[in-house]
Amino acid sequence: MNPKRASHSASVLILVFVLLLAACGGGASGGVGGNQGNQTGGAGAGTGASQGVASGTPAGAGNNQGAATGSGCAGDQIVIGASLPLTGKEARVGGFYRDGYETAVKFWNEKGGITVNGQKKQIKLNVLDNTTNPTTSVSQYERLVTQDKVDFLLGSYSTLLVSADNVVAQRYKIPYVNAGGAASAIYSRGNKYLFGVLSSVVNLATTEMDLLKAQQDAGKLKKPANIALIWENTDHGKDFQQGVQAYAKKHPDRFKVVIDETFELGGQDYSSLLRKVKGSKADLFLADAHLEDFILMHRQYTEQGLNHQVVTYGARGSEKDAKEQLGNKAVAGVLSATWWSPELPYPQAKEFVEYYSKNHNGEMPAWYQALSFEAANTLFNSIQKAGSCDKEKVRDTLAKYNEPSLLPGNKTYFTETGQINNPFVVVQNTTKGESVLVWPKDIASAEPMIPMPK
Amino acid sequence: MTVVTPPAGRAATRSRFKLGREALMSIGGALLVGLVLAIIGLVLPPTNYIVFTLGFLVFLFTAQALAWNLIGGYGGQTSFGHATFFGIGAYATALLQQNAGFPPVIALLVGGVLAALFSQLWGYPLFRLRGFYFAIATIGIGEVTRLIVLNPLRNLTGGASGFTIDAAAGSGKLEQYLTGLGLAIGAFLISYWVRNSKLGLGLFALNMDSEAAETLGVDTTRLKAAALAISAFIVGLTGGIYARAYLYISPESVFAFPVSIAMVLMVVIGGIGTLLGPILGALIYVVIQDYLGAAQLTIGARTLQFRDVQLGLYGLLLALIILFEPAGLVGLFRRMGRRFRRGRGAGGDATAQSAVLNQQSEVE
Amino acid sequence: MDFSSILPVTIGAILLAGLYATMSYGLALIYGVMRIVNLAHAGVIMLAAYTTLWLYTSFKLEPYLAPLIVVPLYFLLGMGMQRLIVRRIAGAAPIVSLLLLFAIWLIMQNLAYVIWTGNTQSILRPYTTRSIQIEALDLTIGWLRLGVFVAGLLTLIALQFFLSRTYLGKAIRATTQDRDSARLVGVDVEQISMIAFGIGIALSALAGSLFAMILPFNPDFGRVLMLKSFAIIVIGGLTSFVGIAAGALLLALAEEWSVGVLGLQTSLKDLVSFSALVLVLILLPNGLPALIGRMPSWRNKPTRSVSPVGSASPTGGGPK
Repeated sequence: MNPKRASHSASVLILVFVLLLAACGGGASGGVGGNQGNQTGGAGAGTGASQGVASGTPAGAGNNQGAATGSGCAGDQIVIGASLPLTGKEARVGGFYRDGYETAVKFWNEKGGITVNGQKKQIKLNVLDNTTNPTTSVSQYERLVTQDKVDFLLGSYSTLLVSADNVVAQRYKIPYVNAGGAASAIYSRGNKYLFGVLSSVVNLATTEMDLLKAQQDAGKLKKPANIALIWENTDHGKDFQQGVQAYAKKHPDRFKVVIDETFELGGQDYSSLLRKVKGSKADLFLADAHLEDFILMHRQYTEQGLNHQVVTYGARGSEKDAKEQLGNKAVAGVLSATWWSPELPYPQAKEFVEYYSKNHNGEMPAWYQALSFEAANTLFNSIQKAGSCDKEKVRDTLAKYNEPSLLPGNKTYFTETGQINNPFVVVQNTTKGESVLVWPKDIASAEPMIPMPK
Repeated sequence: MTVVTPPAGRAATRSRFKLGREALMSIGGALLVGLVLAIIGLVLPPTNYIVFTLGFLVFLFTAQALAWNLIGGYGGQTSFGHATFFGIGAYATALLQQNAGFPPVIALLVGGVLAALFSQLWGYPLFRLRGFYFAIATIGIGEVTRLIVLNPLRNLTGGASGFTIDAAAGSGKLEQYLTGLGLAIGAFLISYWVRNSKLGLGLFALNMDSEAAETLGVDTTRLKAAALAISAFIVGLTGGIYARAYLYISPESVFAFPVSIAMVLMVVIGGIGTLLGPILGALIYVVIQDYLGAAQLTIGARTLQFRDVQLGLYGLLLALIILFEPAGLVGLFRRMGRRFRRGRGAGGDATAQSAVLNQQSEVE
Repeated sequence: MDFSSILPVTIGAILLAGLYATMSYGLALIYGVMRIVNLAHAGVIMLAAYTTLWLYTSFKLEPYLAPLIVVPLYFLLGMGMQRLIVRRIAGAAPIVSLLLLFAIWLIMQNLAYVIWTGNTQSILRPYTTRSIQIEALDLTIGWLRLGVFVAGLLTLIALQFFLSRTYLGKAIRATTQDRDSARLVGVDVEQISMIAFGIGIALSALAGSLFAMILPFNPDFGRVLMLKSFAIIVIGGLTSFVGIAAGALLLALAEEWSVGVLGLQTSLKDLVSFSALVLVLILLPNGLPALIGRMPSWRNKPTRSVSPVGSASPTGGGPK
């Protein structure tokens, strides 16, 4: 190709690109937006369709800090946007979250919707798939705000994506309620539009340690006990490690950490790690892992014939997937501290379980669905309490939010950082493949099996 | 092993003084297009998703693809490790700005320079390796770098949890757009310059036949190193711009293997070794990701989301291009153009259409 | 330093080496005969794992019997791949075959994704997690790991026998050593390439089928394993199977010792193997056998084309 032709073609090509941009602004995106969303409300393809390049939005601010839209809720519906990992690495949990969000939308819409300015409005949910890619995730939230012009945002799943996305909420000053980011580091960055209903993993560690301490007092657990502390190399794992270490330091007569080991998220083989654990002669196996890593690690744990008095993988352990992939026997006795359990005795929890299973052929919800439901529920409730779609008003309502809920502790509220600060519940797998609530004591339905059955 | 062959006779007549008109057309054309796009950016409100989010991504990817093409296309050294430069640029800019208080421009430039320096660190030892081994070694380099950022450096980089830049210190939409545009235009001009310079000639020569080039006294290692340094510098800058725009980076988002793969895909699909191929590749890449993302196909009871088959389609496109149209989409368009003109009775264009992808390797 | 763990760690490493070696033979065979690096290797491993799962879920075929079906199936598939696609680019520049096989890998990944979704799967049988305990030595050895090790060893023996005693094997060796000469002495090089490619794919599939019993897998399965295979075949001198077995053992020992004996954090284990890949390519481009000074294998003299360093190498140009 010679340079002359190159330049000609270059100009033509780039001009084509410009035209393409203009064209897309009108037609393609709007049309696509329709089937991209997960219609739970009406057919809402039209939100951004008419915004061609030429017309643009009337936002005045010349810089990025310009708020995207005014008070919103144009028409008779409220549009909620979210981008979830529906394919890729986190696809499984991403699906659970969509399920939870959809359940909440259905729940509210059946009651007539959200009352704003004395008028009932139906909720429409617009969910995009970010393929577990943080760059795509951020672009999609930008798209939801600037092009699809959603009124409010629900969060993504997993700390990594929430860390990346919440920047969009801050940039466009639009409330973002999530149930996917537990690491406290996300909330320490001064984003006042970010709210999370997952309590910090530090609390998870503390709750589990409280349980172990009570077991020592009851004489069922060795005292002092040696701990093998295994954590994934992320903020999530670090919170857990700090929680356990701090607790052990406070009770040197009870606990001693004999091995403190990190592993990489999404590893292929943990047999060398477990061999190390075996060599450390620990009594308690306290790990923090995500679902896939937990399944692989526990499989190799069983294969290597390891046996500790207590085994936990942090929040994982009671999942149906694990029972299917490992067998009930292998996971029996595994403790998991979770953000929720269907056994919680609160009326809100019971109502949710009943509503969920009625809509899912009798299937029981796991904490994933419950927490994502609660994130959506909290947002909807706040919009209703604010009585307006004004983003600032809803944000202020969220900041002051304190309502009874289905979560452990029976309430949802946010601390100054925007993260909830609730206790955890501990569940344990039985040999029959069920998971029973064993902690806290006042609401427990069974005594913990400690030490673990061989 | 690329597609560009200096057109017959061009090298001979190519003198500094005769370049005039052609250069003016290319450089002028690029600047004109840049100006038009800049005006579009200045006129539109910054909440325009197409222009400021997608357009920005197209600019970044264009710069990356053009940069990859310098070494991978012109020089024929397939690198699967360019994510390292992107990551280093991103982390260096973020860290310097956030922790050391550097002004953004300096932080960006230092990020680019560090990426270029890093490229020389592994470039020199690896350039001795032949095609396959070089490519595979770059995969190894990419993984090693990612793991180092993830673990030994976790106190500095935040490890797997990533690193956040304060929103106030980030770039605004307009700044993102204009810096991205500037870099893309800059990468185009650099590509043009390299292509017509002694460096480019040397790269083409060593790409065609490394041993012959050596025999003729071309210092191939130095040429490759120079091309890789320029390439790394540009990709490093895209990393810095990305970090300032997205405000959050993690090894998963900037150092991951798919980041390297994206550059290879864009260039090969667009047209490896050509000037316009990488631009076309980047454009198509972003458009596919965004617009076709929601398309779906229903077969019987099963609905296939386009996203579900996206990877396979890239694979298919890549395979078809390699088997049938080694010059990528640019080659395809050119072929169509020729046919069209021939149909109208115009004289055939004799531009050397070098399907170097078909070239026999030195091994056999 | 933790010396008490040397024995269990070493035994663990040896078992792991069996796994590593099994997955590397196919890559090496294909490289040897066709001089291309099979980037679809990871895809074959992954698809074979899913095939094993499918045979189990649909036909109740015990996973340890699955190789009986998987290996011939993938042998045919490999021959078909070679005849229809790979042959077209034989002798082209390295990037061409790399990208083509990479494209095939992408398509394979997507195929698995569409059929089996992206969720991680595993095969669970009563014997899956059963192990031998040797209390006196504080040792635990998983039955399946031992089985895979033995399978790897048997594969090595069978391959050596095949290559040294059968006509086909000798023809493959001849083609590996010098394509043109092989052609001159009457070997149908095209035919041999196709068969060797088929065997190579079948070997990768064997590895995948065995892995399916030990590790969980998803469509991305095999990527890290493939990189380790590269390191192993380079250490092993690229085409020598005994060298590859030794390379696998070395890599496994390096990984396991660094974590188990030297006390490195487990999260750094992969760093050890990938650094090994890069360092070996730079420092030891002709692999272990060249270092030792002889080729302990069926390949007797190294030819120029086997070396990753071209004559442009500062280490001195090879013979033209």
